[in-house]
Order: sequence, then structure tokens, then C-alpha cells
Amino acid sequence: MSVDQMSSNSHGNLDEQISQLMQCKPLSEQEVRGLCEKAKEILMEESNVQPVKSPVTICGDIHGQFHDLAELFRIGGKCPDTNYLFMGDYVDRGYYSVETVTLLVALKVRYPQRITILRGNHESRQITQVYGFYDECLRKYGNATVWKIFTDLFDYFPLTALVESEIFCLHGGLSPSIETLDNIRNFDRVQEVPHEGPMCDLLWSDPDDRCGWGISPRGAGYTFGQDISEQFNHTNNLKLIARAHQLVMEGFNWGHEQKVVTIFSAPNYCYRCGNMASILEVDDCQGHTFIQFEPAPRRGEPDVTRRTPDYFL
Amino acid sequence: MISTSFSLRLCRPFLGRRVKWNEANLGEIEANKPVRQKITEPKTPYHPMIDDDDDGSLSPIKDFDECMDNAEHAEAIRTALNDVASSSGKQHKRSEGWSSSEDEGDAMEQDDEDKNRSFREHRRKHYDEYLKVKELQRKGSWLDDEAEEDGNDKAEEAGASPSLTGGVRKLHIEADNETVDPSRRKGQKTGGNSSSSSLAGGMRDIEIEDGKENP
Repeated sequence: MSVDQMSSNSHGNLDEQISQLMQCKPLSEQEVRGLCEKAKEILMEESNVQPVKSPVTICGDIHGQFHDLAELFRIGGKCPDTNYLFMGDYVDRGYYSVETVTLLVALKVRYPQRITILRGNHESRQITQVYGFYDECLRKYGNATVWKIFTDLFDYFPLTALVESEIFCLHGGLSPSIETLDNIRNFDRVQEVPHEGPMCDLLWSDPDDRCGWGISPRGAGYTFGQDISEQFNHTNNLKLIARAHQLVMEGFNWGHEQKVVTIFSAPNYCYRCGNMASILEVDDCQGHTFIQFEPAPRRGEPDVTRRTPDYFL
Repeated sequence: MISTSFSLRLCRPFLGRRVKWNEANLGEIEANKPVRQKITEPKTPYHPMIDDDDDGSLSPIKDFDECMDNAEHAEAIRTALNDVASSSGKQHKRSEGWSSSEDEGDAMEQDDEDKNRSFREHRRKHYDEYLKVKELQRKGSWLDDEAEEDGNDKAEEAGASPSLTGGVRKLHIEADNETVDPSRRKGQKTGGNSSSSSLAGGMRDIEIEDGKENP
């Protein structure tokens, strides 16, 4: 495809790409490059705390489970008929990281006001080299260029979102260096996820039963107790913190006396955990519905369970 | 309180999707159905109830084998059932940590707590992602930071060095399963070691994995 055609990539062309991706067929390297250039322009205009209006459907980790993402759209409604907010971790672990992240980025470019895609801790150069996305790009494209294009784009993904000034959405959790949403608005996010500090914590932290801040067993971020969540919600006039980042068997899990909810949208995570997935629908009247779902029925897929490395001993 | 406005809906594939029957075809099949062969049902280990002479209440026939063709048959079924029971027991035990959704109503609270703890423990181990990254950095087998800084070169570099992925993949296996022969891992850049140690130096101490601290 010539440069000319690339620059005049109309909606028609993009719609074709989206329908190709919906069939789990990856785009060419050149198409990915064009798509990500456009996505970068859109994403760089977004805030570190991106405002989002209801109605919107909030989703958690996908982790390359493309067929379950397709199921999510069947259950939650197609984009743009339904507005979506994804809280990161599109890649790694599953077999279709390339198709998954390309589809979400394509939807972002096509319907920028209808879908918000936040950054997860796996949207990082370091993590993707260990947990599958890098290898998958090499396998599907023969070189690391597409991995490079996407990981460069990840730097522009917003870190958090705020639904109707009430629900604070992010991938991981809170940070001891952040008291207010303005603290988050003020830092420069366009970089690889650092090894420590507020930006790292937002993508890595987890809520915990124990009070106060704790050292995270993950090796990055912190654990935070109910006292911390209550204080943060109070300071920032929030009703709820919605986050992802952790497998929960029912697909969603309340914590901290309903100050925090974990939403996880990869059913049967790693093709073997047997968990349900869920999404959270927030309607125009601020009513909330969790929708739970199970893995999509697969046809002609190999017995993936046996081929997946034993993540759980 | 926000909680009161939350509701839950369960979506299962197929359920709730409309099915449209071809009524004309069904009617035609019903009208033209052939005469079916009568099949006598095989015997099962069902205990027929009989009238008890004493008080008129129902009770099962006492001799199990009376219901069976022969005692051998009954024994085979008992063995098979025992096998199934014991293997499903094992199955349950193995997946116990992950089966919070399958809890029986009468499961004891203590049992739930154990399951929950075991689940959390498994999950904690699974999510040691950054610890693994740091381990790889310490070993210097990495796309190092210098490459990241001059971004344009990195793609070519990464693409042109298959040994690099080899290193990463090998280490990944090591982290999951067993140790690898260090001589088979190609050191990517000797500079990698020093740069990665400085990275690791910036990290918090990870020795106190389970402990809690207020930073």
C-alpha cells in the first residue's frame, strides 16, 4: 500500500480492517503502522484522568483471549452501539494478543468518543517480552517491528478515567505519592512504565485486607487498605474505585466495603482457571449492572489447556 | 449508598438467544413418523419399593442382588462407582483453590476460608510478574535500556537478534519450571549487566515478600 493511500485511509477502509479483525485475522505490518499513527494523535490529546460519560460499560483484563473479547461484544453490545471503557491488559498470556490489541486500537481510531482504552501493567516493553506479546509478534510477523509500534503506542494510553466524576477507573490501584486526581493529571505519562513511583503504582497496586500501605508481592506497586481507599474517595468526591489487574473467580469482586471493585473480563483465564468474567454496565441514570459471562464456545481450536504452560502449580 | 443500585445479570452462551422452530417441517415429520421398535429397558441397580407387612409403609427390597441379573454384575458396578468417586474426590482436591464458585451450600465456613486462602496464595504466585522481570534484568538477558532510549534502532536490533528471544524464552522456562544451563544462554550485551543492576538498585527491597511495612 502506498503512502498516499495510507494517509487517505477513509472510514470505509478502517471499517474493512475492523471487520477483518473481528474474524481474528491480523492486519499487515503497514496497516498496523498507519493505524497506530492515527491512534497516537487521538490518545495524546487525552488526559491522564480521562473524563468519560455514562452510559458506559467498564471492562477488565482481556489478555489476548480474542474469542472471549468477541463474546464480550456480543453480550455487552457492539461498539459503537455501546460505549466501552477498557482498563488495560489487552496483551500477553493468551494466544491472540496481536488481534486483540489491534482491534481495540482500530475501534479507538474509528470511534474515539465511544471507547476509552487505559494502560495496564502489561502494556509495557518489559512485561511483554516475558509474557508472550513480543514472541507472538515475532511469530506472526517474522520480526519485532509490530511489537515496537504497539509498545511505542502504549506510552500514550491514558492511565485512568473518571466516569461522571464518580467512578475512578484504573488498571491497578492507588499510590502513596498520589492524594488527589490533580496529582495524576500533572505528570508526564508518555514513557515506558517506570520501575517505581506514582505512574508505576497506578498500574501495579492491589487492594488488601490489611490497613495502610504494604509492599506488593508482585515486585512493583503497593498494597493498600480500606482506610486508604476511604480517604482517597472522600478527598476526591468519588463513589467507587473500579479496577482490574487481579483474577477473581466470579469476574467481579467487591472490596473495602464497596469502596473498590475488581472487574476481570478474561473468562477461564489462561484457558485453565475456570473463572467467570464480568463487565460493569453504568447506565445514563447511574444504575449499575454486572454482567457475568463464560468462555465463548470455540470451534476448531486445539485443546489449549494442555499446551498452556503451568502458570499455577 | 452506592451498593443498593448494583444488580447482577448472568449471560450464558445460547441461553436467551431466540430459537425459531420450523413448524411446517415439524408437523410433517410428526405426521409421517415411522413405526418405532420397542426397546425393553436394561436392568439398573434400582431398589423397587415394596409394602412392608408390619406397618404398611414402603421400604426397599432388602436383597440388592435380587434386582440384578447376577452378583458379579453388581460387584462390577460397585467397583466402577468407587473408582469414579475416588477419582472425582482427587479432582476436587486438586482444584480446590480455584473452585470458589462451586461451593456447596452446606460447605463449612472454615473450608471456605481455607479455599480462599489457597486461591489467594496461588494467585499471588502467578502474579509475581515484576519479580521475574527483575530476575531477568539481573541476569542481563534483556533488551537493555540503551536500546530503548534510541528508539529507532531498537526494532531492527530486536528483530535482528534471534538469540535474544532465545534467551528470554529460556529464562521464562527456567522461571516456570527448572534451571537452565547458563552456558547455553548467550549474554546479549556485557553492558547489560551493569545497566540492569542499576535498574534493580532503584527498586524496593523485595525480600520481605509476605511481610507488611509502612513505607
